[in-house]
Amino acid sequence: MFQFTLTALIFLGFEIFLVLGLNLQFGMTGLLNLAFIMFYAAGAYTAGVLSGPPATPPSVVFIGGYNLPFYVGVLGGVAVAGVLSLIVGALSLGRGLRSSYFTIVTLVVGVVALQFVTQYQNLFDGSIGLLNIPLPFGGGLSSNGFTYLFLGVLASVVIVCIVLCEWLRRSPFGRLLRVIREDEVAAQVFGYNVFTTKLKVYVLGGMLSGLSGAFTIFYVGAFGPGGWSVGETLFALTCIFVGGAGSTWGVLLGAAMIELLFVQLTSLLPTIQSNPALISIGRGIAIPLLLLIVLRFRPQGLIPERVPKVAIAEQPANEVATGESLSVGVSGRSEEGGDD
Amino acid sequence: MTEFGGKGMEAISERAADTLALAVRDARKSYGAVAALDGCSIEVPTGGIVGLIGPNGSGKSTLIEVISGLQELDSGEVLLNGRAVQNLSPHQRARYGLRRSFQVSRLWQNLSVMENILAAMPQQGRDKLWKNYFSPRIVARQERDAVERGLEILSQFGLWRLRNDRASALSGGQGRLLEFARIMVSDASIALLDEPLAGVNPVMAEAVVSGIGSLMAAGISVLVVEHDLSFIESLCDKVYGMESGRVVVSGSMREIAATEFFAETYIGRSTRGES
Repeated sequence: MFQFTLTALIFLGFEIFLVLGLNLQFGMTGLLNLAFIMFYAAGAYTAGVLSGPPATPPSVVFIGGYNLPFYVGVLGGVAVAGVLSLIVGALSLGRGLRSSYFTIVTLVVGVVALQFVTQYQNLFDGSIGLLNIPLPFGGGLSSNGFTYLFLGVLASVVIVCIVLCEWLRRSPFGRLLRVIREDEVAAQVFGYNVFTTKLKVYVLGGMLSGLSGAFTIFYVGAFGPGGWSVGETLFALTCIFVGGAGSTWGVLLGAAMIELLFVQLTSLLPTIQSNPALISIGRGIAIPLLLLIVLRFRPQGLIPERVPKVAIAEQPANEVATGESLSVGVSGRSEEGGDD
Repeated sequence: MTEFGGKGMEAISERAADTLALAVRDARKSYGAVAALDGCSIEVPTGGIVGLIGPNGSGKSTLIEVISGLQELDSGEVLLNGRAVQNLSPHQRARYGLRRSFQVSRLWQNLSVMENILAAMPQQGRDKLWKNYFSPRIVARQERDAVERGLEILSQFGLWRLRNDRASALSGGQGRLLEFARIMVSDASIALLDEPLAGVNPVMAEAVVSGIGSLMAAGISVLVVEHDLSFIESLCDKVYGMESGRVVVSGSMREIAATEFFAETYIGRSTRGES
């Protein structure tokens, strides 16, 4: 059970990278990027071909295989995911492309990329994917020792990313992201270059996605097309909606709730012999159902995005009264109320 | 038809361009076969307030759109403080001091009133991603100064008490005031106000007029589109009347009220005696 808990936490760590990245893009900036998981794949494949052994043709064919250290694989995965994000973002975030078209473009890009990688075997061994990626930290560790160390490293990086994302959210740059989400035309009118700001966020989110992919392949030891369908992006989006779009703590809660309760914990249920797929089917129904319930009864999520307050005790003596302004008090209003 | 300018406005005055905050010259814009702007020319003197009136579909809003860069001109010139900006994007024009409001307020609804103000201020690099990580003390100090300035402005516009409210909670009139406050703090040199009384109840109309007065007192030149002629008359020394994408009359509101254009367009809506 203890081992199970550690494993569950490791998978939660992978998911946290994803929800942090997607929250930057969607929750804070309003970019609904359905190709998000493609950058996760870019990170995973890159880490695999950098740190894995060479291919053994003709049965196994893929590029690279340089046996480089773990950290090179991770950094390489993040870098490639970032560059790929830059290219896709520059092409899809262009001026004049409205948000709904952007979403459709990203959906198409994600699906085409998945098909290409699956069909073009010489890149990452097609539908099989990369196998037998060696575990990081050398081979001298026991199974438990490896898990502790991996979890320790992962948790450290996760915490750093959470701090950086929350820092960003609270900063004027984070405010700019919310400005763009709320009304990008008004943002332009006040001199903001919306395109470059969105591109920065697109790249940052892509790098976080790539980071998740790189850690995943090192823990699982394999990665293939089955791991990065559009459904994975929708899963991360569900975590964001449930937890509270735009709220760092909200999306962390959403990820923890869904990943631990709905995915990891249900994997402990005994398999039903007459229908072994039943638990998986039930999970596939329960998670969207949870999303529907949250959207219906608490659309702002469990921990909604908060509006920062300016605490000033004294009202200036020279305030102009505008008639209505005095009748619309602010005291006692809940930020979590139905004004979202 | 009597014209105090009319087509003659194409022959823009010979005044040096740098005395004008805004000049539009021979602007043309078509949507398919429909000419929304058909050789339209106007000018706004530095520090002045100019009105733009005309029936629905006369091209007023299109003119505001092309000046602000949200629509591209087919031909013609837009000069901001003497500088041709018609080929620049909206955010680049904004850097020359151009701001605008919209018929329907475009506030950042889920941001607080104070955040709306802070986001409208000159950022001094605070909006740069890396500066937030690598120069946090500088950013924090600039933010403190910005909040202080923001509170002053909110107080001036009667929105101080609402500073922590989401902008979506404001009434139409308060929203207009917040728009003006945003323009005020943004180092604007010219503001285009597109029907500032739209959605504003009569109680707040006076506050809106007062808000425009504050913009002018801050030295901001104003071009205002409005259907309420008494409002235009009370504020503007000069008014342009548009019809079919062209300026057909210009002058004071009193002069325009004597024209055939006025009689045809506003018959039964005379402003005389209202203001």
